[in-house]
Amino acid sequence: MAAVASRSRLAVRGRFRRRRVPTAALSYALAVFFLIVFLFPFLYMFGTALKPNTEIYTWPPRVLPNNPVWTDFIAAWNGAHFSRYFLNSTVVAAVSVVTNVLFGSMAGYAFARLRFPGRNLMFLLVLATLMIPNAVLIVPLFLMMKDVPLTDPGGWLNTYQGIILPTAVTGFSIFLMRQFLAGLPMDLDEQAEIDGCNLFQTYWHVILPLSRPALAIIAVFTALTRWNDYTWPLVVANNPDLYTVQIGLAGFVHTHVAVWNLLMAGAVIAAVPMFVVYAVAQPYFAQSLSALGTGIKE
Amino acid sequence: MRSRVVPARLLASRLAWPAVSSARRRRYLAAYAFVGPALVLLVVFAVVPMYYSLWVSLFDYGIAGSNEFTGLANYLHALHDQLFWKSLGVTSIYAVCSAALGLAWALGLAALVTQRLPFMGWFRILYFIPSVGSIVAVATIWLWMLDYNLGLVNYWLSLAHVGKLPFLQDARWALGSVIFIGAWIGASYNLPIYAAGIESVSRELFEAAQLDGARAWQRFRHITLPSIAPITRYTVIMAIIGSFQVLGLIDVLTNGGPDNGTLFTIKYIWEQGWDFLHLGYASAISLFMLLFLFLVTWQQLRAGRA
Repeated sequence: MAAVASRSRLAVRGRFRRRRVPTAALSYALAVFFLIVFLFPFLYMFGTALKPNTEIYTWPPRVLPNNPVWTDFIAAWNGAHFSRYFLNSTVVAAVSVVTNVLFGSMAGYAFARLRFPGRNLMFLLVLATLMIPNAVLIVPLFLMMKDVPLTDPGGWLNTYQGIILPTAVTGFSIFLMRQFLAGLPMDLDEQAEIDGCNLFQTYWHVILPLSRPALAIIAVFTALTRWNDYTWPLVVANNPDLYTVQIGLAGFVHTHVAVWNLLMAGAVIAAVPMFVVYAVAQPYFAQSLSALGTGIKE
Repeated sequence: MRSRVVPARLLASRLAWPAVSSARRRRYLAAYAFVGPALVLLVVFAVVPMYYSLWVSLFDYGIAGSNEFTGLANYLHALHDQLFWKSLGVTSIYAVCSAALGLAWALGLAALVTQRLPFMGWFRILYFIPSVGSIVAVATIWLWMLDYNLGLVNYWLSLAHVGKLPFLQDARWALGSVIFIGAWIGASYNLPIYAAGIESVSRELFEAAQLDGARAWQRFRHITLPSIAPITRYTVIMAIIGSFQVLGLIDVLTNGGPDNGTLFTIKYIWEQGWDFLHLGYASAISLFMLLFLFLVTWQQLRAGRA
């Protein structure tokens, strides 16, 4: 039986090898073509951001500058208060990461490993919130933020809490954490309890250290979505002091029409932090999307 | 063994709450403490606003807080508002076209990069970059690439003797451009999801099919496609929901124009709510949109199951 199997595998491999060379060449040609399709715009972004003013309106256009300069970045940075936008985006992303990791893991722990009345109903509610498009929420949330009781007129519009709170914990964070923790053996909790841990100690000393991969995925995805968020920050912040990088860049595009080198420098400023995050945390992105890909099938 | 105990326990907790032992009650309280913060946030910032928007949609919100109860007037107005229907049309065309193009593109590339060939992992990593670059930055780059006079794309077209095309100046071309950019981002984002799905299809099934003489296309058609159907259903639904959230792209590229050719529903909600301060009406539109989304999604789920 084993002999038959191995012989058939050999046969497969032999067939594969005969046709392999042209197929592989075609595959690589396609792969490189689409690499250009996906990445060329970013190359052009960097190329234009390095052009001096004299080179942006040349015809025929060139992708890379003859005489690269760094001054566009400084001009863009100062021209639109990007330092302030950077601070705002960083605060929003950082606080959201902490709240999502903390509250998401707490709720995920309870949903995956504790039994309590109403658990399924509550989890259904979590899943339901995943399906609500934010377009439906912006009007009521705006009015709620405007009329927060016991605040000055204007409520929490133009405040960090106003920007952060609606996504301080997302259904996605809870769902991901619950799926991950449901896969850990239950003996862990029982053993911890025998050792005298209460539930909070079990969560803190046993479960959290084991769920680092899931926590990393939540942190990375929260940082990405909050940094790149556009609609809600636009609604809740109309004071430039509270603009995030995305809102600031969109405004910059409207005030500096066709000053392409500055606009591309602004785009670089807005995009590069997440490129760095991706470069550092790439395995977690891959894992979370694979988890999605294989998880949906089950 | 456990399964026999559970229903009794649940029954006890439901019918005779006071009879539950104090130790167990303490456990329940601890569990509620764990889910509490997250649940309160979700209820306050997702569930309550859903109902509040229903309430708001029954009012005529004026400037400076004056508002008047007008019942269903906003909804009746929406029924006769051509711009609203236009925006639903634009959004639907975008949703169908960019989802179809983007998902087919993602699936094709996923089949490409999951081949067992050297360096395919690198391509897979690099293809994801458009999804990481922020939507506003991406829109700004494409605004430059598609510029009528100086844009690189029109330069290439002039080299090919096609002549300049009004990518963002003509209503139809503008919607086409936005669809392409949406598909470009969608392909990048969905590729890893499909790739993981393809990789989880069992190797044995493939090898058996190969032994039976199935060609690559037949294997893809009869093994890969059916086994990733649930993923496709999910990505289609997410793409449709996503098409109601393209404000960043639109604000930079076209601002809803020209001739309202790219007036997406989310853009129209924004205009009504914050340019004209008709927040009640904006709310009614958004709920109409949700109903529309619900019907489409339901249809999609049904089609997927049939």
